[in-house]
Amino acid sequence: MSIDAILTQLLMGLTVGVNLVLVATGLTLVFGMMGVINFAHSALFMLGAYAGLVVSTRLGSFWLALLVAPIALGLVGAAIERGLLRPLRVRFPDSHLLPLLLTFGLGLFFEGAAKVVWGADIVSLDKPAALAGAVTLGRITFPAYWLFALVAAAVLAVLVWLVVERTPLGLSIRAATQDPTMAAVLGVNVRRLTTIVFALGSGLAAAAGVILGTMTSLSPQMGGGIVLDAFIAIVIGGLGSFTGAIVGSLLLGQVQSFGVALFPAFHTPLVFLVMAVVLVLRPSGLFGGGARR
Amino acid sequence: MSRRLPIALAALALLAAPFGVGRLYSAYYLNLATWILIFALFAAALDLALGYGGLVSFGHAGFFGVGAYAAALSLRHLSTSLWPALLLGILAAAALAALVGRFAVHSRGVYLAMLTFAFAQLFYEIAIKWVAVTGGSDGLPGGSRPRIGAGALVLDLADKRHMYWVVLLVVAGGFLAARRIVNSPFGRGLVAIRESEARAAAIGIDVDRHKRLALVMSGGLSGLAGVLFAIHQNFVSPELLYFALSGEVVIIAVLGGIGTLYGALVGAVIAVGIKEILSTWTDNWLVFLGALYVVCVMCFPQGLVRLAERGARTT
Amino acid sequence: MNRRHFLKSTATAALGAAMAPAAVRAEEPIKIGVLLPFSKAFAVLGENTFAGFTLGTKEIGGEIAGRKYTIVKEDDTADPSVGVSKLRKLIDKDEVDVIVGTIHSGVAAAIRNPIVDAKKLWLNPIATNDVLAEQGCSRYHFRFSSSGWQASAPTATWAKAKLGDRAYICAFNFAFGQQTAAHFKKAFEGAGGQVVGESFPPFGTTNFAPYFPAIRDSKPQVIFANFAGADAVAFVKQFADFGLASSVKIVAPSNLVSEDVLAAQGQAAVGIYSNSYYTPSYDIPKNKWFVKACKEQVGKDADHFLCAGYDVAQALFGALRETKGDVANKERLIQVLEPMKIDSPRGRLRWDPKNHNPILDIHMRIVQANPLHHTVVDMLKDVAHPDTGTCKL
Repeated sequence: MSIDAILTQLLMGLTVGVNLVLVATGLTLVFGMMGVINFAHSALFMLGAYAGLVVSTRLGSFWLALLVAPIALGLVGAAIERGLLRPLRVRFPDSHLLPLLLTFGLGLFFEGAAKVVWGADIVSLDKPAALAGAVTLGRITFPAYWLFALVAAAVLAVLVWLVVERTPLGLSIRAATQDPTMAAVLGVNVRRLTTIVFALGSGLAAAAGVILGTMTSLSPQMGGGIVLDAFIAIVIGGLGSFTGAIVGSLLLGQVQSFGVALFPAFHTPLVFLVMAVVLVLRPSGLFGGGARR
Repeated sequence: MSRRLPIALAALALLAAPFGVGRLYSAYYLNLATWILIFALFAAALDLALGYGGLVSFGHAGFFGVGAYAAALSLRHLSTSLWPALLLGILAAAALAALVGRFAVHSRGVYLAMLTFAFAQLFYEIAIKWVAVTGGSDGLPGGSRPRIGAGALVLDLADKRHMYWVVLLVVAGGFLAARRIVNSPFGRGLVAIRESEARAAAIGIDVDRHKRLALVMSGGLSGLAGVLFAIHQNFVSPELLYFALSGEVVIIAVLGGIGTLYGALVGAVIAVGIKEILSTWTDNWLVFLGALYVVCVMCFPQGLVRLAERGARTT
Repeated sequence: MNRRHFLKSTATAALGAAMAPAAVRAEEPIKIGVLLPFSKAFAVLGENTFAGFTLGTKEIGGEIAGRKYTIVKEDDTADPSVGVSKLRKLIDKDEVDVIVGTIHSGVAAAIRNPIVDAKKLWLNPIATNDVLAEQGCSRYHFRFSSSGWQASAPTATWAKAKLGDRAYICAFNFAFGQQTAAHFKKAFEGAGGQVVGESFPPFGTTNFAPYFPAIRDSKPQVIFANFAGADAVAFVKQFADFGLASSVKIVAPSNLVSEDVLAAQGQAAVGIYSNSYYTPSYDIPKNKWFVKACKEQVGKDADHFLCAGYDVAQALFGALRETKGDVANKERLIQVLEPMKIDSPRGRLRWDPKNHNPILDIHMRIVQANPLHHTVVDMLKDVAHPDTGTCKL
C-alpha cells in the first residue's frame, strides 16, 4: 500500500474508531462503577436519537436536539437505576447475571416500545445546515459533519476524563469504584453516585445516538450493531478502564478499516479474532485488571 | 406427598401426548412441545456450565448451531442414518467447547462471556460466508428425515409423533446424564469451584480441568439439542449460531432457576410458550416480552422452580 | 306409509342432498394464511405487503364466489426457524388452504418443503431466491416479484450500454447481495464490460468509509450497489457525503432506493438508477387508481411491496372466482393461475409456465427531486428467468 493509501485508510479507520468512542465511553463508565454490562445501552442510544428527532422536528434545531436528548435520557437512566437496578443490587449484591438480564429485558422493552410509538419506518435526523458541506483533505472529500463527529467524540472523551480524573465528583466515583465500602465509610454517598454514573452513561449514549443517527438513519433496532462493536472495543481495551475504552475503540476502528483494505474476504471475523487473541494474552484486556471485576 | 407420583404422572402425560393429536388438539401443539423439549435440553446444558460451574457463557448458540450444522451436513453428505448425525453433532460441539475452554479457562465473569460470544460469532460469520458448504444466509434445507429401527419397530422421523417420542427420549436421557454429572464427585467439585476457587484449589481440586470439562459436557449436550433441532426443523440457518439465541437460552435458564437443572424445563415452557402466544396475538410482542423479562428478573430472580419449592416448603 | 308422504320425504331428501354441498360450503370459510415479517428489521416491508393484500380484499368484500374467507396472519420475524414454526401453526392448527408469504429468502427456503409436502397453494409476494425458479421450483409456488437474477443481470447489460464500461460491485454479504453481485458481474463482463473491484460489507454496517478508498481508486464509471433498509440509507447518504456520487453512477435493485428508505435518504438519492417491476409514477390508469387507493384505503404510499401484495389478492381471488370457490382442488387452482394475465398496477403480470416465476417488464428508473420520486427512463420487456434446465414442474 502506498503512503497515501495508508493515510487514507487510517483516516477512514479513525472515523470508525471515534464512532465507537462515542458509544463506548458511556458503556465503560457504567461497567467500571457498577460492574454491570448495560445491555440497555443500545436502547438508550436509540431513544436518544428519537428524542433528538422529536426536538429537531419540533424546534428546527439540531443543536437543541443534541442538548436536550442527553438530558432527557439522563433522567430516564436515573429512573432505571433507582427504580430497578438499585433494588436488585440491594437484594443480590454479588450477582453479575441478574442486572445483565434486567438490562437485556429493558433493551427489548424499549425497542418494542419505540416501534409502538414511532412505527417501524426508517427516518432521518437532518444535519445542521452549517455542517452540510465538505472539506478537502488531500485527495479526499471529507464531509464537514464527520469532522464534527470526530471533534465531538474527542471533546466528550476529554470532558469525561476531566470529570473523572480532575473533579471532586470524579474522585468520589473513582473511590467508590475501587472500594465502595471504604468510600461509604469515608462519607461518600455511593448510592447517589451510582445513580449519577448511570445517568451520565445514559446521557452519553443519547448524545452518541443523535450524532451517529444523523450520519446513518433512525429505526427501533438501530443500536444493536454499533453497541455490539463498542462492547468488543471496551473488552479489548479492558472493562472499566477509560483509557482502555478509547484505545480499544480506536484500535478496533483501524482493524476494521485495514481489514477491509487488506483482507477483504474475511474482515468481519477479524474483529473477533483480535478480541480472542487479546483476551488470551491479557485476560483482562489491554488496560484492564484495575477494576474490581 | 412423595415427589414420585407427580413426576410419574407428568412422564405419562408427556409420553401420551401424541395420542391426543387430531382428537384433543392439533399437531401444532405437538410441534410446540417438541420445540420446548429441545430448548429445555439446551437450557439444562447451559445450566451445567452456568448454574453449577459458575461459567457465564454468551456463546452457547455456537455449540447448539455447530451441532445442528454438523448433523445437517452429515445427513446431506454422509448418510441418511440418524446415528452418525447424532454422533457428529455432539462431537463437533464438544470439540468447539474444548477449544473455547482451552482459551477461556483463565477468564472470569464478563471476559469469559465475551470470549464465548466471540467464538460463537466467528462461527456465525463462517456460516454466512462459506456458502458452498453451509448454504450461506439462506441456510440448508434437509432432505427426507432419517428412519431408525429394524424389523417391526421402525420410527420414521418424518412422522411428527415418532419425532416427538425420539426427542422426548433423547431429552430425558440428556437430563438424566446431566443429573448424574451434577451428583457425581466431579459435579460437587464444580459447585465447590463456583463457591470459591481458592478454597477448591486448596483442597486439591484441579480447577482448570474441572472448568474445561464442564464446558465440554455443556457444549456437547447443547450440540445434542442442536442436532434434534436440525432434524425436527429439517432446516439449518446461521441464526442458530447468532448471539441473540445465546441470550435467549440464558434467559430461559435463569427464568426457570439456574443450578436446578429442571428449572430449564419450566423456563422453556414459559419462554417458548409465552413468546409463541404473544407473537400470534400482536405484532408488538417485543415490548410485552421485554416487560415480562424485566418483571421476572425483579419478581422471581431465583427462578420459578425455587419459588415453587419455597412455596411448597412453607405450606 | 302413504304415497304422498313417501313423495314428500323423497323430495325433501333429494332437495336436502342437492342443498347439502352449498350448505357445507357456506359454513366453512376459505382460510388464507399470511406469513410475513411484522416485527424487527423487515417490519415495514411485511406491513406494506400486507397492506397491499388488504387493499385487494377490500375490493372483493367479505365473500368470494359465495364463500366467506378468513385471513390468519403470523409474524415470521424474518427468521427461518420462526417461519417454519409459524408455518406449522398455519397448516396444522389453523388448517389454512393457501399460504401467502414471504419476504426473507431464508424463510422462503425453509418453508418451501413443508408447504409442498402439505400440498398447499403458495403465493410468494416478494422472496427473490433464484432457487425457487430453478431446482427448488414447485407447481404449488407462484412468485409475484422477481428472481435475484432478474433484479441484477438485465440491469448489468443495460448499465454497460448506457452508463459505462467500468463497474464496481458493492453488495451486502447475505444471499441476496452475494447472488445478485455474481449475476451482475457475469452479465456485465458478458456484455464486454470490466468489473474493476468488489466488496461485501456485512449486513448491519453503519460506517462505509473504509470501503470508499478502494471504490474511488479503481475509478469505476458505474457502481452496482445492493443494500437494504438502514444499510441502504447509510450507504447512499455516505456515498454522497464523501463526494463519490458526483463521479460514479449508482445502479441498483429496487431495494436500495425503495420508498421505505427514499425519504430518509433525501437529496443523496437523486440520480440513482434502479430496476423494479413497479414504479409509483408509472403512468397507466390502473396504477393511477392504485396509488390513490393505497393512500385513501390503507393509508400507505404505494411501493412495490404493496403492489405485490395487491397482485397476490387479485390472483388468488381471481382464481377462486374461476373455480367457484373450490379451494380443495389445488391442481385446478394451479391450472387456472398458470395462464392468468393480471391487470396489475405494474402493467402486465404473467407467469412463465416453466417455473411459475413472473415474466417481467422491468422498469429502469432514476431518482429525481422535488418531490423525491422515481421516473421510468427505460423499459426492459419480457424478461424471464433463464432456463437452467433444473426446474421440473
